[in-house]
Amino acid sequence: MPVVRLLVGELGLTAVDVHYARGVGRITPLRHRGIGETSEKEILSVAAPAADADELFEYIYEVAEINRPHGGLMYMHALKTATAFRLPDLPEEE
Amino acid sequence: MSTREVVVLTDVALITASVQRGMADEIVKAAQEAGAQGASIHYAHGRGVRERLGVWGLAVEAEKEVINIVVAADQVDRVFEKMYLAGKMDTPGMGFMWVTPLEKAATFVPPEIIERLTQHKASAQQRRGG
Repeated sequence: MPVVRLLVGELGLTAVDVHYARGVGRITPLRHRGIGETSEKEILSVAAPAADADELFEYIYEVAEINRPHGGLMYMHALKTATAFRLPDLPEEE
Repeated sequence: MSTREVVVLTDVALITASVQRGMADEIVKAAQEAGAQGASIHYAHGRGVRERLGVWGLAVEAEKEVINIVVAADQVDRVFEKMYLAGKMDTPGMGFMWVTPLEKAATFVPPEIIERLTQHKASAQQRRGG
């Protein structure tokens, strides 16, 4: 997922998760072909400091190209508590 | 520097439901009939009252489907209720659901809708001013 590579590689974020889901919509890319309304989705979850959240939201909006038809949906909500997550200082995997 | 604008939706909420595998499609259908636009569904493994229900815990599927639906704040109660009824959430072991208030959301909004909303907002401001 290119967005994850940017978030981890360029912004140095560590609390980035991806899982897969099926999406159900009223209007999906496949619907006009009559082969069903569901499509495979990648769901990206990012935990970030509240102070950076708005800027990061806009960044993901741009790089994930949310603002195009069938570009997906993104949302943001506050967390009550979170633990720090720092990765050990290890060399990059090949 | 980018000159593109981020179109943000406010007054939105996320409804999440964790249900037995195979139940999601029916619940999503009910949500859509109540006004929801779409949903995402992923799988999870659940533990809980299952062990106390049925023989050897076979009455309740451990495999779960987790449904996520973003809806406008004024639709939350209606969609939530329809999902609750479709998922038979009042039956022990069928699953549970909750609502998370969202600060904001973003998706593709067709330019003609943005134009219409902008005009509506401007005329409302004019009325208040005049």
